[in-house]
Order: sequence, then C-alpha cells, then structure tokens
Amino acid sequence: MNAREDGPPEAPAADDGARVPPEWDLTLYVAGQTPKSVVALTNLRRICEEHLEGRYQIHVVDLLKDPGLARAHQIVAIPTLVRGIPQPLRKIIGDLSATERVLVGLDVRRQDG
Amino acid sequence: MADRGEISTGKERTGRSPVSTRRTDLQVADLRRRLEEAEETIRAIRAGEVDAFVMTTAGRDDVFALEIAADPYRRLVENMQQGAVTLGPDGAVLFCNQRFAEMLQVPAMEVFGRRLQSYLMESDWALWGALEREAIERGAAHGEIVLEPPRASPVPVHVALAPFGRGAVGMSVMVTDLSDQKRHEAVLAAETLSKSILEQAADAIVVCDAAGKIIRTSHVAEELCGRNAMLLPFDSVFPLAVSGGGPIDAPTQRVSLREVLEGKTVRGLEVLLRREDGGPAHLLMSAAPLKQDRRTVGCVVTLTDITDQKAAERLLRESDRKKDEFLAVLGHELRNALGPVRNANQILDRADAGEDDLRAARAMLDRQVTHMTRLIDDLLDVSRIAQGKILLRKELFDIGALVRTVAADHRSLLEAGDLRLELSVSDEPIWTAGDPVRISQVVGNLLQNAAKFTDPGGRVTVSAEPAGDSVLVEVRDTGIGMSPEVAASAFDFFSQSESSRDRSRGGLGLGLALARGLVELHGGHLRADSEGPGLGSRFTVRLPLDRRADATSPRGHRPGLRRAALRILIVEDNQDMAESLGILLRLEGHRVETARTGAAGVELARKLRPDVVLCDLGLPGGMDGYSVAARLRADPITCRTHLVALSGYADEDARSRAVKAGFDQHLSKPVSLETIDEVLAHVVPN
Repeated sequence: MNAREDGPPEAPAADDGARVPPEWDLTLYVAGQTPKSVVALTNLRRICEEHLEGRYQIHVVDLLKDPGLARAHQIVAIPTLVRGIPQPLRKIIGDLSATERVLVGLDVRRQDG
Repeated sequence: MADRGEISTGKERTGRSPVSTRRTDLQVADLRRRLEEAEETIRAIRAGEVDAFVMTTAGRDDVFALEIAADPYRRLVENMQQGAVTLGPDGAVLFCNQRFAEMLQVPAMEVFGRRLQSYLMESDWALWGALEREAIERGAAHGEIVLEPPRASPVPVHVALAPFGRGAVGMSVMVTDLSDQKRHEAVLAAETLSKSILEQAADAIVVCDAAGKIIRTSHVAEELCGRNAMLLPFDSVFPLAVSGGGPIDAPTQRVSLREVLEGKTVRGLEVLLRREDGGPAHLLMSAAPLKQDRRTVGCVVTLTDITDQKAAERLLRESDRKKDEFLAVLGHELRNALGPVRNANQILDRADAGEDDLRAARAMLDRQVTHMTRLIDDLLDVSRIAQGKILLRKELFDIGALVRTVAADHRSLLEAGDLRLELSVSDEPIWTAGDPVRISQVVGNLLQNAAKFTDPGGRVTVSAEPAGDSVLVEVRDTGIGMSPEVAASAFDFFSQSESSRDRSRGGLGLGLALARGLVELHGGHLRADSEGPGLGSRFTVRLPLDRRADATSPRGHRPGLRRAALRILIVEDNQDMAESLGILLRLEGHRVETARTGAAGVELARKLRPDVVLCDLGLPGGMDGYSVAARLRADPITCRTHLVALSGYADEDARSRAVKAGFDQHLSKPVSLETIDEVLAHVVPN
C-alpha cells in the first residue's frame, strides 16, 4: 500500500500553464486502500470530472502512512473529504456515493443556481 | 439523513448585540458546524460509508480499519500475479489491485476513477470496445491488447472480462502480463529462423560478437574450417588474406575483422583461406557489422567458396593461351617451310646454277612440301578426330611387318639425328584388325616424336609383340624424358608448346595427340611413361588382337608398278596445277590433255576417249566436278573411263560424295606424283 501521503495536483486548472488557483481545493483522507477509501476516491474523481472539470485540485492523504496528519482537519472517520476552497472549510464524511449531497456539500449546487 | 440546509448554511445571523452577538454568533456557528459534522459522521457510519477511524489514545493518533467480511478476498486479489480491475458501467476503474498498478507503473490511487481505455494503446480501443460488448452479450470475453502506461513502455497483456450481471452493470477484468512470454516467443522465433537459415545456407555464414569471437556458424562454415569454431576468434579460425586477383598461392595482405567491427562493410572481396587439411580455398567475402541501438554488437561474415570457379577460369585462360601459342607456332612452322621453298625456286630459275645445286634445290622443295603437307594433314586429322569424322578402313594385317616397314621408312630420319634404331619384332606374323594406314601413322608419329626429343648419340628401340588378347607396340628412346606432369599432358592437343620441352625441336605438338586419337578409334590405348626428365621415354600402343573382326581379307602383295602409257585428261581450272601435273605425267610417258572447265572437259573426253580423267571438283562455268563425273558415267562412250577426283577437301564426306557422283577414286590435294603413279598403275588401258 503506497498511496501518496499528499498527492500533487491531479487536474491542473490552468489551460495555458499560468498558475491560476483552483476554484475547488479538496483533500481526501483515506486509510490505505480500504474499500470505502477506494470507492470514495473513485466517486470524487467522477463527480469532479463531470461537474468541475478543469477547476479543481485533489489531494489524497493516506492516514495509514501518517496518522498524525489527521489532526490538521480533526479527522475521525475515514474516508473524509475536506473542502478547503471555497471557504468556509467543510467536511463530507463517507464514500461520496450520494452524488447530489456531495454536490451541495461542495457548494456546486449553490453556484449553479 | 441530514437535509441540505444543515450542510449548506452557517452564515445566518441569530443575535443583535454588535459585539456579544457577534461572538455568540461565531460560537453558535462553530457549535453548529461541529454538530453538523457529528451528525454527518454518524450518518455516514450508519449508512456504512465509513470503514476506518482515527483514534487518539495518550496523545497519539492511530488508524483502525474495520475488518470486513470481504477482507480475505481482498488479500487474495492483492497478492495475485495477475492484475485485477473492476470497472463501473461507464468503464471507469472502481478498483484495481497493486499488481495492475505496477504494470502501469503508477500508484494505484491514480488509476481509480479513470477510464481503463485511457491506459490502452489507441490502436487497441476498437478491440477493447468489441471485447466489452462481447463480455456483456455472452457473459465473458478475452483477448490480447497492449497497455500504454503514461510514463513507461507499452506492455502486451491478456485480458479476461467478466460482467457482474445482466446489462451494463460493470465488470471485472483479469490482466495477465505477456511481456516475458512475448519476448520469449520473439526470441524463439528469431532463433528458429536464424538457425534454419544457417543450416540451409549454401555459403559459409559466421556471426561474431563485438570482440570478434564466433558465436554462430552455418553448416558450410563448419565444413570450411573443419572444426568446431564456436567461441574462438574469427581471425584465428579463418586466417584470410586478400588474394589481389593474383596466383592462388601468393596472398598479399591479411584480412582482419577489426575494420568490420569498427563499422566498415565489405562486399565481394576475394580472399584466400589456408586450410589445415588440403590446399588453399578461394573465397568471396562479405561482412557487415551488426548494430543494436546504433552500437556495434558484432558482425556477420559470409564466405562463398569459389575455388572451383577460379580453377575452371584458370583452365579456360590456359587453354586459350595454348591455342594462341599454337597458332603462333603454326605460323612459324609454315614460314620456316616457305623460306627454303622460295630459295629453291630461285635456284631453279638461275641459269648459272650447277647440276648439284639444282638437285639440292629440288630435294629441298620436295622435303619442305612434304613437311607442309604433313602439317596440314595433321591439322585436318586433329579436327576430324575431334569431330569424330575419321572412318577406319579396317582389314586384317600383320602389324609386325607394318612396324618393320615404318621403322625402315624412318631409319634415315633417325640416322640423320645420329640416333641408333633397334628393332625387336618377331618374324611370325602378328595378325591384327585395323586400318593399316592409320596404324602406320601412329607408329610413324611415335618414331618422329622419339627422333625429336632424343639428343644425338641416343637410341630408339621399336618392338611389337603379342600379349594375351592384345598386341603391344613399344617405342622407347634414351631422350630427354618427362616429368610426371608432362607425361600426363603429353597427349593433349597443342601440349608441346607449353611443356618444358625445347621449342627449338619444332613441330606443332599434334603428333602424340593424333596418335592417341587414332589408337583409341581402334579400341586400343596409348600410354606414355618416363623415369623422369633426362631418363628417356616409353610409348606403348596396346591394340586388341581380334582375328574375327569384320575385316576384309589380307591385302595381297601389291602388283609392281607398270609403265603402260595412258591417255589422260586433266580437268582443272588452276592453270599452274594443270600444267605442272601435265608435264610430270608426260615425262612419265603418258599422253595428256587439259581442259579448264567442266563443259570443255566433257567434250574433250567424248573426243579423246581417255583411259583416265583427273578432275578437279571445284570448277568454274556452272559445271563442277561432280556433274562432270555424272555426265561421263551417263555417256556410253566415256562410261568406263577411270575417274579420279582431285579435291581440296580431305574428309570422308567429300570422299563419299565423289564416289556417289561416279568417281572411282578421290585424292586430296596436293597430290604427289607417287600417289598418282600408284593410281595409274592400276588402270588398265582401254
């Protein structure tokens, strides 16, 4: 199990190489490759590609590798998704299989209208 | 389950006092957020969306994953040697094991949620689509495709697809890495191919590594070097030298593989190989470096054995040279004969020449004409033997008597060279079937050969004796002898000119070749032996003693020459020839008339009724010699005249054609007076 502790930006927002900050900065906390962790990551990628294409950045934090990283965002249950941007900070717990709820939690729905 | 409001809000204001209300508001908001988080956590746990927790004990955080029922399967899948992938209905990767991530050389996390197709070679997308469709329709599918890792080389894989249920509900894919297998197959195929090429190649093919060591040889290459050459340095197994087109045993420059290994290509270089067993081999060499990623890893050398071609080429050149030399010798011989003829002729013209001078000149003329006639006869005989056109007039004869006669005829020649002639022939007749004229020619040629190659004071011995079913005729001399090589080629046409024998001894070198051809026509053998140079030579004729041969009865004693005067008509367009022959015949006591054309000849013959007509075959004026003969034979007045054809052609075809036209005899020019005398001696005057 060698998931990255903190993944690099996986979907750069800029289209011409200029460092435009992503509109959504997301961190997914997982515990190795537990089934829910894997499902959560899969769901997150799908939702982001469908709704936030080119405007997001995902970090994956494997707490099995370094449990101490849980403190920063006071993570208790895994998987947990933390929305850093847009503010305020918000957490969505679970495998992210309820797409509508995730969209609301990410503030996508509010923006859409 | 929490409703939307709980999650999305948190910005509402609930108090009024600016400061305290503000703090209170923040506290409330924070509390609210914590509450929402707690609710959210509980919801997730209850919904079964969480399978791990962070526990803090004694200030240390630890992660505890829930042991779920599927764990053993997960471990199994993780530890498989195959890649395992589960795909959602849209083809995105829901899960993959570590092995699959390793095939792609990316972290497993990077793969989740991506479409599997994005990791396939674009050329395989259609095949992948077909496999997915087949799996959904039939419940399973498999095939071979190529993975294209984002940062590594393509990986050939076998995929087995199994859908989770009916319809588009996702599927599992088992992925087997075929890289090793493919590599193995490719190596095997290459190995098999190159092996069969090496086995079947007609040339010697040698593959060397970068150090010039032999790592592969074709069958022929092994034969060429005569040993197992594997792993030995090429330069020592095949010590090659550039032949430079010169003689085969004069190599000029060693050939080394170094230049080839340094990148040089060699095409069709003629080289010599000194073989340990046997002589040098003449080879055509081609060589080229073997490159891999622009680095020379070895070279391939092809050696074609052209020793036989080279030998044949040499033989051809040699026989061509022999022919040229022969023509030069022929010209020389003819000119040598013509010089004295011209001189003798001038002597005869001079009024002040004495009787002795005139006699000497006449003898000179006679000798030289005889010599030239024999040269030309030999030449014609050689060509007749080569074309199989000599016809033997076989009869039973006493070869002992024949040898004695021929020896006697040559006694003066031998004695002129201060050679002693010894005869060893029994008095008992040795009856042999054959053409006595041709056998005389054979014995004569052997005697002339002995005379030519024996220095003054030497001895020539002739013997004839029966030996079982054969008769042996031997001519031995104490002459210059022969090396075995010369003896082996003594009977080749034109051989004399290139042998070590002294050219000053003259002749065309046809005599022995002619003798052997004639002996073989008789079903016999002629061999040459010598103890070596300076030790004399021995030529042995072996003829079958066949008394039951279809020979005519022994020839009786020739009737003595009669001197009856005959009426002779000469039909000949060459005036000198007609005139000189006429003078000679008149001097012999005959009555002679001449005609220049066929028609005149026929008319004169009807008028004169000659006993003999000597008629040239090639005549001007529309009527040739054949027509003359036919006309004379058809006329009752001249039908019994003895007709003799005179022709420049000496072969059997000309002879038989003349006889068919009505001639009694055919004589080839030039005709000696003796020959004509002999012919006339048998003619009975009308």
